[in-house]
Amino acid sequence: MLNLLKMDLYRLFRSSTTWIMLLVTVGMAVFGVSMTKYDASNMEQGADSMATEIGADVSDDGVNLNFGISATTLPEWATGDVDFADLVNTQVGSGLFLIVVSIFVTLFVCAEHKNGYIKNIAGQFPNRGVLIVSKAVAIGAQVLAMFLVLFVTMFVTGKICFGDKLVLNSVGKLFTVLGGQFVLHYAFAGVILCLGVLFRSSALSMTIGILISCKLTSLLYMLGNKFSLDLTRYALETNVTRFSMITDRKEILVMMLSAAVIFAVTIGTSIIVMQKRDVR
Amino acid sequence: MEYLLTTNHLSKQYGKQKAVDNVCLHVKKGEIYGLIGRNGAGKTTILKMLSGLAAPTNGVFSLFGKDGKESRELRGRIGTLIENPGIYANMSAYENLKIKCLAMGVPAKGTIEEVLKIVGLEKTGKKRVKNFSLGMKQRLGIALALIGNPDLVILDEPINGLDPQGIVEVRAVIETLNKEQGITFIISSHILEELSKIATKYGIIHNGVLLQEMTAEQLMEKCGEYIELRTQDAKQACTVIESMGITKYKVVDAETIQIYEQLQESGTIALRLAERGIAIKGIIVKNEALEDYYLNLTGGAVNA
Repeated sequence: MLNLLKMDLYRLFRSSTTWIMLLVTVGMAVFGVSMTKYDASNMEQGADSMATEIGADVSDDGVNLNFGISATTLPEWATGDVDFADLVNTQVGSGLFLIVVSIFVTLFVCAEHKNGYIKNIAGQFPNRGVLIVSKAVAIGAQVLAMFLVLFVTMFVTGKICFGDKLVLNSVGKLFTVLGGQFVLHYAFAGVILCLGVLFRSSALSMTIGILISCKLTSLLYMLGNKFSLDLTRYALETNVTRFSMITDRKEILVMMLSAAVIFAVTIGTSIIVMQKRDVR
Repeated sequence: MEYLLTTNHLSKQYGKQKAVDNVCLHVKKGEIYGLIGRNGAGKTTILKMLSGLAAPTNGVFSLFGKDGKESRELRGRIGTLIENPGIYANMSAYENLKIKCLAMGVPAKGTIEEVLKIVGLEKTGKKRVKNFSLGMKQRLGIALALIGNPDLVILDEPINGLDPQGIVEVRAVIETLNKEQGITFIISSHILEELSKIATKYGIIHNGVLLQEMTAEQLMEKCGEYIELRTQDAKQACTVIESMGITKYKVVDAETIQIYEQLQESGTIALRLAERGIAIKGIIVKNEALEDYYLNLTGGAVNA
């Protein structure tokens, strides 16, 4: 298992995808913070919010759940201080980062199926499930690296854009935001890993991942409303956005638990599929 | 342990189609076992099952004298190259091999250099695999199979798509490894002529069924030139041909003898038999080419 993890980390380190995704993360953070600054400036001048938003509202029950990608600019940022924890939360909560995770995980997981490298190693392990566990850990390392890059880039860009107005009111809140969003994004990576293993097609897995990131699944969740079941409380892609708006600890606990369950189910499914299905 | 690998009624079914049907292979240590069959005969499926990449629908196999779960634990001693070499095109040969070394827990330093030298890729340096020729990729595939010092190497169509030079190179690598390191090989191919240059034993598979298993000598016996003598009394005829100094012959049945030497002496043999009063029903020099033998066995002459 440890050997496989070393292998996956080596592959991660050597893969151009890894570095490209980190660069995309940097670009995304710079773009997001710059647009927020632009929006805040407009609000300061009395213009309407220009929040970076693509899509349309599905429902508005106090929580903004949209199709597409949207980042919120808080009104107080126009004239007052910008809390770094809030800035991180609104940017990560946009869902754009989910797309980056989808693309990375799909390319990483499907690569060895596509080029056939898996045939060199899969037969060597009586329990092929360890291949999935090792991949899940390696993906976790990459998602964590992306978060760190995002954190640093947003801080630097925030300082450039907002200067002394960028403050950190609570270190605890910042860690809660980063930790909570990491858990949600990592669980989402688990879903994409599962799709990659199931379909063995990077195009299909990536497309589904992007559609989920854009919350097109909201249409499915609306079906749950017929049975008085609010599925958005448990869905990862909606919780990534809700996390930036909800402060209730109990609700956050529900988000974390549902993320853990989804991660366990998707990784478990991937392990079973890898063990039972023939390697092509 | 007489056999390094045996399969016992190994079968694989996809839906209603039986890809492999009750195959019983017997591979001894040090052999180069040639699995010969047409495209779609079931060769790759058999090799995938042996490599642990596909699960048999029925049947079991014994590996290094161990069965069942114990045999699965020994799969680390098998190196495989199934279908096309599975390689990262954007990486160098060294990096591709290092990935496998890490997975297998094999020290990369020394091992990779040694394996690259064996397959003749030691001078490729940082050249990316996507810039390799087909032959070089194939040799890298073999190199990957050699990581971890396997006792058994399974190569599926290793000469597929190679030019004559590439074929010679791959064949040389296999022969060297077999002779110098005692590695047992199972090689599949649909080109009997090529396999015949290195294989020491053959398994002929057709439509998922193993038609015959035979040693290279047995195959040559069947395919080489020989005198087929048909007489009323094979026993007495044997005395006559032995008196002529002929030792390489086989009594097929009570009337038929196959003689594998002094092929130009068929006239003399007939004369000596006549002198002893042994009636001859027929005497003819026969020759069956490898491909003809194979085609006849698989019904290829009709189906091709």
